Amino acid sequence: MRMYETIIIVQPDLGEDETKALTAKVQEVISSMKGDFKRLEDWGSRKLAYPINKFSRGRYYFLRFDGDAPLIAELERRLRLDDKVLRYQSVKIEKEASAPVVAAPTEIADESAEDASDLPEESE
Amino acid sequence: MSDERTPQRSSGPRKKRPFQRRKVCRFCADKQVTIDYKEPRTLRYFVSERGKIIPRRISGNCSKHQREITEAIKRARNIALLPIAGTHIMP
Repeated sequence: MRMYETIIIVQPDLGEDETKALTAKVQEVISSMKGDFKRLEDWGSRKLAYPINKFSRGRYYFLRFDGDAPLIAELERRLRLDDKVLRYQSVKIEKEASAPVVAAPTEIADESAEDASDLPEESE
Repeated sequence: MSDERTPQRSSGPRKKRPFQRRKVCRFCADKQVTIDYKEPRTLRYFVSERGKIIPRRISGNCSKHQREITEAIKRARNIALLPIAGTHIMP
């Protein structure tokens, strides 16, 4: 058993039952392949750093589970077939993050103005 | 800079740079700060305005943490938390 986390970006303008169907499908895949479902976080609709399939916003889901390699393959196959899913990324993690990620849906803004002294970007 | 300052040496060492404070890896200095591809706020310090990864000689990271930063930035780019090239024009 390995620990994985997957980030799924779906289209921002989905209805209630479509998101329900997605989460149900994910849980069903994990349970059918004898995986261990840990949690699924909804980060809400966020602005994408670059447009994907002409969508400038996307709804982020963070999925944390344990499983084996065939489970990942099956899960990604199912996600690939789904038109609503814009992007997904699975990462194998070595150790559990102690605190759950509180990724606030922030806009992508540059806040590095006052801290620029530590990071000199000047050119010769 | 101009070449007139060192006329004798043609193939000497590289040009003297003005003195710079020795930079310290901020992740070695502060163990609280974690590198995570899901936190674009911390990763933002290590990309330029055009979205490029800032090299170690400028950012001052140690090699271990620079490797982790690079990995994290590439993952974050993949899921659109960080731009691939500067600011993209939204349709």
